[in-house]
Amino acid sequence: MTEEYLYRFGLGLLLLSAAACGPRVVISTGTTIGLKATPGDGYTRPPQVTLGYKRAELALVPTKGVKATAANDAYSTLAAIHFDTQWFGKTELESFLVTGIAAREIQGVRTAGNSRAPTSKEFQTAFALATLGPVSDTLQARREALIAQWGELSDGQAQRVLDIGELGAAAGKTAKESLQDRILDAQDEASLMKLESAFNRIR
Amino acid sequence: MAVTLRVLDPADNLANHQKALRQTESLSFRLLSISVGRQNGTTANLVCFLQQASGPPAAPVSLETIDGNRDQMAQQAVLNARAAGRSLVCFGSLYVAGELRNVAVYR
Repeated sequence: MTEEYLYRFGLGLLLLSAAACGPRVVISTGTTIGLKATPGDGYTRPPQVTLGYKRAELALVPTKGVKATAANDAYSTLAAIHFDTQWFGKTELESFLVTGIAAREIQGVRTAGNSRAPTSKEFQTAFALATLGPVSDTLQARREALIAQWGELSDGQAQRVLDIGELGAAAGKTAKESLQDRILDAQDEASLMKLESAFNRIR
Repeated sequence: MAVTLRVLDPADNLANHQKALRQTESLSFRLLSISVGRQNGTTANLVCFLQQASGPPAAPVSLETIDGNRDQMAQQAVLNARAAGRSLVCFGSLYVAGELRNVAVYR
């Protein structure tokens, strides 16, 4: 017991002395949870519910003492605990501590040098999936070539292109209008090649 | 003529939004409106086009943000001042690089 105490004391001193030298991030949290229930009728052995939990954590992160950037960050730490029980009704304990760039990103806050921020999952799931975006000049030229051909098609021919390409017609639209949408939606190599192949088949 | 509704990426910048709209108009669509709305219960950068039988319009669209901190009359003044011979296609809102912006579309 004495050796263990000395070991812990020594470790603590070591950490404290390290923390005192040079720039660093120090984060520490502690949690104590106690639950005890002893209902009983006094005649038989009473049921018992006992839970004890004690935790402590410490992070000591040496840094260069320079300002953090999106690409260079030694200040990000995360300490979290979640506890819940239904034993005595809903009992819940939540502790969430974040520092550095991680703290900014987890809230969806823009970080320097990241033009597509916010990047947090919360932000991304809050928006509908994009269905229209810029394409490369090469892909656009090929789409415009298809539109030029599309302009000459009858509705029946447009339907054949859709059938060959196994592309369904949009609800409430003619075959030609649906095909125009399909050309717009061809925003990658695979879908564009599929359309070009279908156009070639009806020539 | 039918309309086509699509969703722009809210993380994209204004230049990318403009490029996507110009490319779409080059495929015989004509921009009708831009708006932040809802789709499947989530926020969406909605753009609405009119499908045309003919080719692209003579002039491409240009997107410009208007400072939302200005009052109504100040924003109106900016809209008119910036027109400079162009016509305003529509004035609405879009998420640009993750931020909600008032956006004017000129042609």
